[in-house]
Amino acid sequence: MEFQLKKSVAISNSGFLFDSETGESYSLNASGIHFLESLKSGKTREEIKHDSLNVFDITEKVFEKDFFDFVSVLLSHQLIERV
Amino acid sequence: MSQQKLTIALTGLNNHDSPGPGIPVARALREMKGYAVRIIGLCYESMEPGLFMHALIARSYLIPYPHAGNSSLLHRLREIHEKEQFDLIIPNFDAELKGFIAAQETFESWGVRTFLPSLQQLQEREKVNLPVFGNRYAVAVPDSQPVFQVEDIRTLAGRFGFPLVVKGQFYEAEVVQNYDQAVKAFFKISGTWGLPIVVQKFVHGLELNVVAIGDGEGNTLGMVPMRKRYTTAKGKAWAGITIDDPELMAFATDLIRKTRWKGPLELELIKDTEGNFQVLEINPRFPAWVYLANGAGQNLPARLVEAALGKTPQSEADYAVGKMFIRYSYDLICDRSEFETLAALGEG
Repeated sequence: MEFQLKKSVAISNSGFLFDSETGESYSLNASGIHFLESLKSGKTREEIKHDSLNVFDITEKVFEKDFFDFVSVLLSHQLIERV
Repeated sequence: MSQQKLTIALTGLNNHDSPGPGIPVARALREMKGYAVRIIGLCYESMEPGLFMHALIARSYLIPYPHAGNSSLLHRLREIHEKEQFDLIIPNFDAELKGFIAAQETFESWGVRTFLPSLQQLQEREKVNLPVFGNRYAVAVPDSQPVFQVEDIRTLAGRFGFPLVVKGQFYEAEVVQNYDQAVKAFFKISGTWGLPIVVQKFVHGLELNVVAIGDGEGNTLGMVPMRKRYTTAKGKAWAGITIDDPELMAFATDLIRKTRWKGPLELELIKDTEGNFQVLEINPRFPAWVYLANGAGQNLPARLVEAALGKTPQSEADYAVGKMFIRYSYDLICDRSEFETLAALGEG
């Protein structure tokens, strides 16, 4: 399953995320910024996994868990949509 | 460039923990382009902070409470008008609007302009009439019912379930989780604002606010939406941010078109998880956060003044999204003699 960032969501370089539709804002850590930027640029889950395994010192299993957790949070806050 | 001189009288200078809109409206008017605006403050209590904010309010006068009747109000306003010769009057409290609307012709005979809703518009959006309003204009509103006896809350709780919202007819609302809390809220709010109390079903979703002006012909003269980011114990916005929700703007614009609303208003809405809007309240005046609209690029009090003067106000719909306001409290220091003059003579 693929996801895309909602059009109303903007991310700054510092990892500050603002949803202009709801007025909600969030702070992201480095891996959060990486995932969000990847989704924003339209990358597929496989491409994000490939990039993440190169950028972070993690196993594929850790990526799967962290990515799943992160996407679940984003979906619950209605910041991303299933494509 | 020469500036047109304007003297504007306004109310709502109670800038305390549940602030009135008077000070933000005065602040926006003082920044009105092309006009040199002099503000006359009309107050009900001699300790309303606006009385002592001389950088914004040139002169202040005490006026009688609405329950004293319109002849008392007009007598006092006539006295003040003879001294100050104001061009325009902007009432900023729900509870006083009925009297000011009824006095519009008198104001006009003095040469004083207003820009207010009709009495029918004022009454049909009252909290006790909201279900009828919803039916008439085909907008969703939460189930609610006015109650005159505390025992009736038990029946409504059975129908609506907890939590419930217990509301005063003009101001104040409390979310209650059980019958005991509802009874307490009933007596507390009715003790201040009288009966009936409105009991409203609690609706889950995103709470959003819109400030706007209608021209009375169905057109919108300006509109800015806001999401509260921090609230006080009374649910008042202490910080907020402008948002961009095209569906919300379309909904609010359509409501102004259908009701042909005239004057300022604040819409309080819930956007539920399906994206549908339910109108919680329509306040017939500017909200206390109206200066945010000015900060975001729409000076709505200035637009209202131009409309009242019979001019065509700016009506650009653009505003800055993500503009925030953060309220603060501030201690004004004044001499006892100033307070004494206001309390004893009713002006200062």
